[in-house]
Amino acid sequence: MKWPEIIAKSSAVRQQLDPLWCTLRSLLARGVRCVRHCCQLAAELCSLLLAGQPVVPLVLKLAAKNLFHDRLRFIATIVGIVFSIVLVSVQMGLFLSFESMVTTMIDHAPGDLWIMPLGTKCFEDTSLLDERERFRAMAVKGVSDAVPILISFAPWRVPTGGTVPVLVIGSNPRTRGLHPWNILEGSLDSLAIPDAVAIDRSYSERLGSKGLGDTAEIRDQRAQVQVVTKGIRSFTTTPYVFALLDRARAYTGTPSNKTTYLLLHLAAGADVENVRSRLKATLAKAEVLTPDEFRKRSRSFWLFETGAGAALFGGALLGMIVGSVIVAQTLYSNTKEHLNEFATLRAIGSSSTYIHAVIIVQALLTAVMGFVIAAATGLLIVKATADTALPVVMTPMLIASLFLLTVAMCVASAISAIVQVVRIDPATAFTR
Amino acid sequence: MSDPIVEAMNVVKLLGEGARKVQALKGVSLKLTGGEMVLLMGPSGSGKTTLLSVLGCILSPNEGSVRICGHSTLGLRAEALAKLRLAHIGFVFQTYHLFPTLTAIDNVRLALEVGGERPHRAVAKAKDALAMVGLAHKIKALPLELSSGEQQRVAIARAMVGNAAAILADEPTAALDSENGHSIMSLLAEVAKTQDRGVLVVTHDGRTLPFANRVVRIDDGRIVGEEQRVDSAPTGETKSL
Repeated sequence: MKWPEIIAKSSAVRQQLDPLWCTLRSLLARGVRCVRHCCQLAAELCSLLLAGQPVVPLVLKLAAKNLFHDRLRFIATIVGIVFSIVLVSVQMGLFLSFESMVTTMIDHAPGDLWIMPLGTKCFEDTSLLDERERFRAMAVKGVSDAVPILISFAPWRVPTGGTVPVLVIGSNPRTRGLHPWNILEGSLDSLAIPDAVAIDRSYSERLGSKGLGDTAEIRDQRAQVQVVTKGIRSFTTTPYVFALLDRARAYTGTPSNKTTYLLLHLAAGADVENVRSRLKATLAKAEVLTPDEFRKRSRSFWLFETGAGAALFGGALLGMIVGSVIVAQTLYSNTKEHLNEFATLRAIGSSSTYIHAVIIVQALLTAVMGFVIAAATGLLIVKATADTALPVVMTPMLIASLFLLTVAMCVASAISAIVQVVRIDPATAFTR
Repeated sequence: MSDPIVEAMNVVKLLGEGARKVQALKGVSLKLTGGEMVLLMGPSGSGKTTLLSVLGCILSPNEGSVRICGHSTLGLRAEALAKLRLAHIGFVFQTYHLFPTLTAIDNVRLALEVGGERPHRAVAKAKDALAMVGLAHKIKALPLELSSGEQQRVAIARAMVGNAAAILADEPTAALDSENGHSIMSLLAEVAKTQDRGVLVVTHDGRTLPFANRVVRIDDGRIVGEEQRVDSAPTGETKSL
């Protein structure tokens, strides 16, 4: 294609896009005007409050009156928003909780590098390494210690009958490995007692344990609860049981020359990347990850490869859709009911921006009220689930994001109502 | 003679679409100057309200031109027309069109706040306007708590509060009894006494005639007659032109 043809074609395309660009520009300008109006309104309110003159701007009054005029509909809208935001906050709270629980073991293992079998997907992956890798790793310059950690599933026989699958974590307490934390009863040294295990209080009932000193069987071998912890929970709801490395091997039927991970501690001044390169060259059937990389891999596996994250996000999205539809429906009907008033406003010289501001303020009022109730409900849920296997987590960042989401959802829902008033003919003020 | 506040020249207005299209105004010319009260009279369907809408910048003419306080409306878009209405025109509607959920004072200050007036200044001006129409004692009343005449007074206060040069009233007495109608027309006549303000009243109520300085008759979309009245007092004599 020659230059003249290219220029001719591009100008034709430009001509076709011109109307679209004009429309977009006009919509953008309207949006900017509306936002400016709302900012002016906020500034006006602030200055009035500061000046001690309690004169509420009419745009706010009109919006509030339109909104509260039909109380039943307003209550239904608020219930809808609360339902929607609570659903979103619970889903996101579970997501946060899930995200943090997925990496809780990695977070509590104080190492510089992790050595694991090739293809390990997450912390709960029970593939095994040969103990010989430990000696190879120890021989690498810069490595000060390589602590074996075993992870494997085993059946816990409940004294009242039946079995519960548990995830046994084996690590020796005198090493810098992975040990139970938040100890309520007993001590870390108690794990040295023969057959000693540590369990979390939240799983006591499920494991049929009455507390410290209680005995049970893991894979037909005696286990005695010598340590009780608080808050060491698994997002998979499979209880964690801590034991000495050799006991853990016995409970899980793992050969004595096998382990799941090697937690490396580097010598002072050793460079992590250099040591890792040397380890990679030395270890043929193992991977070497930093704690951060291992966290990312575990998160990515549980949240995205298993579909758990998609389910949580799907629930949150559903909540947002439901909330948006409810608010849109209310604002649409409210606007339709007050079309004559908006036509009068237009006839007496109101700009379309002012009318849009009335609708947007309605949306904002709905958002603020819905959010306050939803946030309170969410905090109650957080409190109620604090000691359960999968607690809902609410962080200040999540609360702020939820507020912004509620506002965005409500303002976006106002579009259908705004489209309606854009078509208002002020002449209708004379025909009624 | 002072410059016209509102001036329509050879205005043609088509209403409806396709086969239903009708020529509601067929080359109408009309002027409203300061200090006069003009009655626009004619039978139903004669084009009174259409002319009022065109003069009030609510409808744009298909042909001809309209000037408001010297500004031509030709080619202006909806937002620019709204600005022109806000600055120069006050409307009084047949059924008042007050906001039922707002008090009298809020209904009046609305006309100022839509134009960007600060709330506390709008409140002060609205109080003055309500005092001028004799409703200083009812500023907190909702429209439903007011009589029809009082509601129309609030509507007049709303039309006047922004210092509009032209007050355009569409059948302002149609929903009122004779006593209230008389009082509303007196009020509008009083407003028209200011030299920089003119009042145009669309009506077919013969009882309003004594208040007018000028009566313009319209029929079938054309101005068919005009009477200049010497005295606009309710008992004033008239002179046909």
